[in-house]
Amino acid sequence: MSDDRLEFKITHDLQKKDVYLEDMSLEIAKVFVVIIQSITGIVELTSKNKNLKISVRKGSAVICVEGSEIKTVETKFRQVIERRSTNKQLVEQWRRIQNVLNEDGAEYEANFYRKGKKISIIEDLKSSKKLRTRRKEKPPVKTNIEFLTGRLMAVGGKKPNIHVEVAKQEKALVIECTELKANKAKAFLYKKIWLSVWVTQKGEEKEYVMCDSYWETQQNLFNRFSQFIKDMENSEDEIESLKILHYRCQEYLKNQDYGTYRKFLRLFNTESSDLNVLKTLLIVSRPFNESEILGLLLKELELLFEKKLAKA
Amino acid sequence: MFDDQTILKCNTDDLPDNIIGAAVLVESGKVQHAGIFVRYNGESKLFHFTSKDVLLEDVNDKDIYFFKVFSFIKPALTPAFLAHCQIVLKEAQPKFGYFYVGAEYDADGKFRSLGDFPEYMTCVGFCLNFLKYFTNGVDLFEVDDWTTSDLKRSEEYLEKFLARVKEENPKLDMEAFRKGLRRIWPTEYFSGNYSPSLPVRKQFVDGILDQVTGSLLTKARA
Repeated sequence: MSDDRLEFKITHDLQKKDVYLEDMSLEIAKVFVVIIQSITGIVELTSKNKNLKISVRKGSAVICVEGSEIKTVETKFRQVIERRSTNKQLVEQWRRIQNVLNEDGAEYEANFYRKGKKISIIEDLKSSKKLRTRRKEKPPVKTNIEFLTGRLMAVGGKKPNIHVEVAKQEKALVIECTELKANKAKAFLYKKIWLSVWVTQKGEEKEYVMCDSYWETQQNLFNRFSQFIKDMENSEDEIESLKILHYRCQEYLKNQDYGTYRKFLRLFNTESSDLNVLKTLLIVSRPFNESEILGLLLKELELLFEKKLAKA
Repeated sequence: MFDDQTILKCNTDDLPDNIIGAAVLVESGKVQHAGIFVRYNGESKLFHFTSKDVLLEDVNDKDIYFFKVFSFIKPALTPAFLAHCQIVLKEAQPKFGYFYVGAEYDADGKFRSLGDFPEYMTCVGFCLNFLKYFTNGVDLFEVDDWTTSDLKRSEEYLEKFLARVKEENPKLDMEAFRKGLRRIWPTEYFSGNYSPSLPVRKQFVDGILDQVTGSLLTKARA
């Protein structure tokens, strides 16, 4: 027998009687088959399996895999137990063994033998939660909101737009906007402006749509919004993003800072907003649906939400 | 209307990655406890009030929990739903009691009721109070359809409970509180989830209750 091996032993049956390979009850035979099938599957899924040999032996009922590559089997087993494995089939084989071991009744031993050392894995299998592949965490929410400052160079166009000279950019950015916003922008011609925009990649080009503008005196707000979007997009995961958003909204509402909150909500008044972001905004703002200052914008957000939800 | 294929075990592996539903625990041949089943990104969790603590925990293989999806909230909104579970988990401090007036856990995750009642509830009450946040403030169950007579607890028990409430809330209007004594049972909560509209009426629940309960118990034995 090789030193390096993985060994499963069915020692006692449901009545606590010794198990013999030559004399198995139906229940034990069924368990035996599951283990040997799973072991065969595990060997098959081990990349260098040429030197791995499978055997059954007397002395209770023993199922054994041996060969130097057992170290790979063990490494992969650790990944499965720690839920780091992404190999669905391999996890399935180990899970079948886990299920058998956790059923009431028979008693087992399960050990890796490596370099003369015996490492029991029975508790690992029994105590760990149902084995499954590693889940990729849902990444934080992404938006297409950008904040920029520059010099307003032109306002106009049949399809209204503004041209803004931005540092480090050769050409002035052309930013689509509404007539109303273009009119408002005129006052800033050749002056510095602070803007939030929605950016969409269209082939090689980026398309800019104006979201909102900020007065010179609102630089603080501009910076805070910009920082918030960064925080939300760089949070731990999707749920954290939504919670950060929720708490920020609550802060504005509690402080009765409705003007700022309206500007904050505007950032998300776009078709590209995430469905759950819209839902979070709507439910947290629900008590203000009829409010003079927020009601109309909330209605717009709700329409966006309904449209997206219908497609979800 | 009722199809027992819609009752699924919470520890089932091959479920969609995102799904939310009403959950109940079957134990010793009885439907014992209720909660909310939230499966997000392939991870199944139960959000429930144990009558001591509010927990958001992984579904295990030992307890036999079943769920049925909620019809009033789409699976695509599971992230926002789970975020609110976590917000309420941080704030909620319910105490056990057969009291339900259609209250709500608000945006702060805090308990809020018309009449400013203290936070007494059952496991079902917790689910209903929580879920109201996602139904645009519509009550899940028609409060007045259930009365004190549905409690099935002795006068003595109730008087003791009321005495405790009074002690814990000396300023509380006990007459008003007494009117809120009612109990929606886990099986009723689960059955109500088949109602095509909200709030769920008792008449609807009564019409379907035996069938749903029978189905749960049969499935638990299987």
